[in-house]
Amino acid sequence: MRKTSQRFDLAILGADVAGLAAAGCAAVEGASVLLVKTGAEAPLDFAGPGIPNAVWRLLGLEKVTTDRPKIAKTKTLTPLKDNKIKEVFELHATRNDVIQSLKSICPDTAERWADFEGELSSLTVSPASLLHSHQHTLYGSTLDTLNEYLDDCFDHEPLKTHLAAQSLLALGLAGDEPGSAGALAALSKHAWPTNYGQNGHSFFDDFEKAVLETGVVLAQGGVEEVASTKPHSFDIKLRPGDTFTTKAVMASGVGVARASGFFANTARSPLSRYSGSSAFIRIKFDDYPETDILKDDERIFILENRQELAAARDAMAEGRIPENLPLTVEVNQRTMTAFTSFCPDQLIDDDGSRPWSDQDRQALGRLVYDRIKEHLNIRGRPSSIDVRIDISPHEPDPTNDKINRQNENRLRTPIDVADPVMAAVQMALEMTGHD
Amino acid sequence: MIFGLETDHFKEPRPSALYRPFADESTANDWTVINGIAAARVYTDIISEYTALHHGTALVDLGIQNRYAIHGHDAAKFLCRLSSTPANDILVSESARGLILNSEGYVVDFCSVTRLSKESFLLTTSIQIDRRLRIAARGYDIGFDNITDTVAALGIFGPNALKTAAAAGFVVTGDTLASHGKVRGVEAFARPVELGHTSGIEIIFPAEEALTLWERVRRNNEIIAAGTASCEIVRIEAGQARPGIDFCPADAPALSGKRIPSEINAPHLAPLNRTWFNGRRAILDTEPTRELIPLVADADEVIPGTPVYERPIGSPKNTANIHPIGTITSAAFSPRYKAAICFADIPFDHKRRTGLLIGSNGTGHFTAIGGGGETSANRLNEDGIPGVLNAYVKTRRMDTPETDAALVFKKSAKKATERQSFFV
Amino acid sequence: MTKTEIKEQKPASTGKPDSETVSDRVDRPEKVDCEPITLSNPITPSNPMTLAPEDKVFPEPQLPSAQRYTEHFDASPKGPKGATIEGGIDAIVIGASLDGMAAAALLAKAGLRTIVIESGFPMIAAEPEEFTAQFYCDPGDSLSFGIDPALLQRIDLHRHGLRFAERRMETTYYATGGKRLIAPGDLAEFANLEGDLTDRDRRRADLFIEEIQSLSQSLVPYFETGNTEAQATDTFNRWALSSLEETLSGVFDEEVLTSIFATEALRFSARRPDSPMTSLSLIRRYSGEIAGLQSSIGAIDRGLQGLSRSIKRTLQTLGVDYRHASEVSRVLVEWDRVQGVEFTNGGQLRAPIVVSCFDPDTAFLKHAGRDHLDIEFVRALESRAPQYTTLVARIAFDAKPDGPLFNEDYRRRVIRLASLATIKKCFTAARLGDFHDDAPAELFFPSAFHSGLAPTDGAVAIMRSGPAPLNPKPGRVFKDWEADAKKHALSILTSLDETAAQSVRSVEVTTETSSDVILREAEIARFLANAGGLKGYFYCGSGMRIGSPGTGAAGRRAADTALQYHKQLQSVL
Repeated sequence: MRKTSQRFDLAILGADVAGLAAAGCAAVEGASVLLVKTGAEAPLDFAGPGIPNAVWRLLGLEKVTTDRPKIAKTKTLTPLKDNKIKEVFELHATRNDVIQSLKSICPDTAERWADFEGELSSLTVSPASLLHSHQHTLYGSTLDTLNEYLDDCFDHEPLKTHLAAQSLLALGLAGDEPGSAGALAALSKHAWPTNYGQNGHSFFDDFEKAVLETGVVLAQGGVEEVASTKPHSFDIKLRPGDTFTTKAVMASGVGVARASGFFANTARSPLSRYSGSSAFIRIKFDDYPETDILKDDERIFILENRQELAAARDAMAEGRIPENLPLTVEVNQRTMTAFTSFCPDQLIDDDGSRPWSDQDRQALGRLVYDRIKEHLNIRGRPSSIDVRIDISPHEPDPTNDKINRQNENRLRTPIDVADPVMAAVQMALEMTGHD
Repeated sequence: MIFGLETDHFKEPRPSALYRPFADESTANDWTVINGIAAARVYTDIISEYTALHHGTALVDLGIQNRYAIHGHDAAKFLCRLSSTPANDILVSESARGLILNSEGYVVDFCSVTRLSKESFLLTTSIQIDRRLRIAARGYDIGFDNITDTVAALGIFGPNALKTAAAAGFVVTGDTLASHGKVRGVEAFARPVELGHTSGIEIIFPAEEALTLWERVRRNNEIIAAGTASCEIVRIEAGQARPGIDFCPADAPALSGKRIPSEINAPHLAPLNRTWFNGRRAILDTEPTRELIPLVADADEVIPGTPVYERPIGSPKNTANIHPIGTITSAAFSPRYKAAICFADIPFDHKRRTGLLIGSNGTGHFTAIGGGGETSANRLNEDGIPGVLNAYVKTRRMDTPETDAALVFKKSAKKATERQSFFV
Repeated sequence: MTKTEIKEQKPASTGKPDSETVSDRVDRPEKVDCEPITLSNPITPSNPMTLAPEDKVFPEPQLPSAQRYTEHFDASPKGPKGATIEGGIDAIVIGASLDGMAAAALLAKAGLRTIVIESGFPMIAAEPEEFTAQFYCDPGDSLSFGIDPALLQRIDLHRHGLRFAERRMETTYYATGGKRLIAPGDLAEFANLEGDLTDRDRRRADLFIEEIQSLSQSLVPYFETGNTEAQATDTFNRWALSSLEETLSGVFDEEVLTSIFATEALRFSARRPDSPMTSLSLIRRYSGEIAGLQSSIGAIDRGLQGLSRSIKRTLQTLGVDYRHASEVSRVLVEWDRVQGVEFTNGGQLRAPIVVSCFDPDTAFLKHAGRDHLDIEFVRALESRAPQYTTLVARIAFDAKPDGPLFNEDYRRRVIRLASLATIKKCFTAARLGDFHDDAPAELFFPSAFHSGLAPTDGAVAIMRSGPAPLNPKPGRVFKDWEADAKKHALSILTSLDETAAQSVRSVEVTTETSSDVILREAEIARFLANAGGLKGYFYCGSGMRIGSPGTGAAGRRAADTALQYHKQLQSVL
């Protein structure tokens, strides 16, 4: 049992890319930072968000690595006429390749691509600008839905489906929510594989090392309790029994907060949702899973059309597992990882609602495997399927009679945006007074 | 709270149709990216390229501009709404310049329109405006294609441009009319264009045929290629603002830096008595607050981004009163003026007699520039702005074709409004 | 053409079903039947989102009374053959909605020669419409959730006969499981709701309503002037961006209270309760003021005709020329200014000020014409694409059998509650083209306040239910939709009161546009208020209703800006 006498300026729960970046930046700016590896972080064999250039500069990552590999291609499967044969719709990470591939698929659209890319920057919205935007400019209506926006830009339905998948699958939105057009800004960010496997060279390891060199203290263990005894003082109890005291606590992202069992107290953004859980499904194979469609540096979205997104959202809201569950899938050596953010918090059927049981998780795992197998024509058998579902309590304990939600004791979490790393960094700097 | 884009993803240049032959001309190997397309800043050296533009023949890769083919029953009506060009009134093979404004009256871009037939037009813009076109086209019987990547556009500039083009087989019938035909079996389109004081011909042909037609023009050894740097000099000499550099295009997400036509010396491109166009009502109600003035400095170099300070009349001794009022937006050395020429973005109708100072805000390396030529360098010194200025130069406002046109237009417009009744 | 002539020619708008028996009236023309439109390209499951606007499956709104007038009488200037162009007018108000007539009254009061043209789009019908033989009903909303107090004060409608049959109407909430709660008409008394509730919940409900009302008070400048600077407080941020589900979660112990607020907030909503920015829609129901009582619900005596009549009387005293004319074909725009209107028969009325209270598409895209409008403005107009609609059913009862509806709730507003979970299911069903059996619904009996609407034994009810599907199920046509909608309305009625459902004589169904999230409506309204920069054109139609519907505030605002413009014109001349 460890109890340090040090009082940290900030504790960050979640040592994922966003958490590391936030901790590193706050430490570089002079704060004493505790970073907790809670075990609730997204699995490393799933590509993480890219490092924003500002963070790269602040942490001096050029000293550590020059390696900035990216997910080279993103794909969706487009059903052809008879609904059986599916064509792979793929988008490269580099611009020239995108334009080249679009030229062969939908020539009209290729010409529009450069213009569309340029416009993405106008979609970076802030809640403040949302309320202050009296200028209803051509591009600037921050209350646009994603579907409307895409319909404005393109005619090619598979492309629209792909772009919707790329920007919405991580957020668990359906694209008909007002303001969801802002999610398209995610298209300008690259996903970076964090774990390269066999050659032992991992960007994530280098990154972690660089961050720890800035003086960040790393602790490990699930979070048992965050207790606030007096203002600006929190005691964080970890599962091994360690206790740390800090002036402020934040989570690196909504996912980690939820997976650790906290009610996420995030600033409102049109891209944040209130209910719904996300799930990681890790499928291990004895041999390298043979499929022609997905390669190591690629990511595939299993989503056939945009209506499936709405159907998935509706099912999730009603407590069912969506029939055509939208999935993001990556393969890494013998492991295939799938992610979905369209799982209900509680399963509701005729008998009422119930929390997720082990059987339900297994059923979800099988369902996901079947779906992947069907779409990717996998040859090879899985040796194991792990399912992790991040559920957060949605009803905070109503102890006070006031309808004032501000003071409720929730874990502060960065706002849901297209760039989660920068959001975490911004929040860490804000909380340590280095905005 | 949510952040701007920060990625190299979007900066990756693509080649224009004429990239390969033009790249062979480059010995300076100095490249830049415009509209996502690779463009050479300098091929050999700036001065000889500039000289060729004015006195010889120079080739310019115009593939960096955006081109749209617009066709359909409503094409003229549509263009009149989208832009301030008089598309309705121009005859087949005539061209006209204009502005594209947003509904608040801010300038999105400069554009030019050439009538190809009764119902088809060529629209050239300096930035991409695909989505604006798409949205504007709703409810109109038109179709449009972005042909930027499918055509090669070669500019031949200089006094000998016509002759050079004719030698290569591109016969331009008049000073103002475009012509359309086949050269060696390749469909080609030629139209007269202007680049500041120098005029030339723009030849547009299919991208696949880029090499063939290039060869035909390039046979003449007198010709050299001119890069964007020398074109910039000509542009500033001509007094033409450039979107993205001298002002912020109205469709960009930025909150400041957007300008209405009269703020960038272009009121004559959007005259209110032309047909109704997008943003017309807004500029009617908007008073200019900034002004972009072309200046000649008695210095060899002025750096864009340098703050411009105001020296108020009456209290020249009080250096505390010197405060920044604007910036230099673009600048270049002009062989014609043998001086640095630049655009200064300052408050509108800034008192002519007040001195403008261009300074570097800090180390004492200030350059003093008298606005309107009223304030001589000596007087400034006598007024005794102490210490801060250890270098100053005589300057004057530069007369350019564009500012002259704007001035003439403003005067005539004033006369017109004096006569106008309220309802017209 | 003088005013007096027109007044004499005007068909007797007093021929209303009053206390006289319905059979006394003879000259009622036949109802124009709407043709069901069959989809030429059936929507396929793989392609339901590509339905083009022109494929809309609903017939255009019917305009029986306007057609009636144009047949018998046309007071618009004559067309090319007669070629009349009438001038000497200061302001023209086209469309006779509450807002339009309010604007006309205010303009006339300020001394402007004003003409109101009830043309093609009578938002307040001159007479109730006979939807089934001997049964009459208003085409619009007979319930009032709020009337702009400033307007009431300025044109003094009470002096011209505006009366409330019920000033603070009680609401009965039918919860699932047969539970009934009766909410008092005065919101200040909401905590005294009849029904099984804990004290803590009552207290919370009180606080909750107070919070919504104070928020909506503070939002007045935001909606009236578009001044958003002052509003970016934390409270506003939280309310503006949160979903309704989020805002309501954990507030009440009793599910039924959550259902009450959810159902009331999502009245006519086209956005799901779990969609961001929906929580502000609570102010639609709780912000208005009627008869001096904050957000009570009132039944105006004789419904909309009562209101219509009192405003018309006001117009009469003010000397406003009220005309029934042929349809307006376009608004005359010369350069940036409006110069009058042109009618389908070619005649013109010229005036420097035109106030329109048509829907935005008609007022701008059709009347002003997209050639005269900025691209951004047109885009804003066209970006409103509702996915859902509200079903309006007019129900005729042969008798008033013993049952809770007629015995107790006949003079109340009746709401069938739905829980948040159910509402979400309704949205899912509506997206797929289905009616959900447990959809929330509102029921109200105009005949309880106005006996002439139905034969002595009978009764008339208006039922609203939503979200309803905007398009029929894939592969089906409008006729099926209509049949489904009628069945749906009957099933709602059965669930409320079985005996009442048995005495139903007929059901007529139509739809009403559902509303978007308030922030977005406000954004578009600000745009519309400026009329796309067209000088002399002022707008107070359906696109301006942000808070509670039809308050007349939009008309007041339009009149105020028009007066400013008039002053400006005078000073120039």
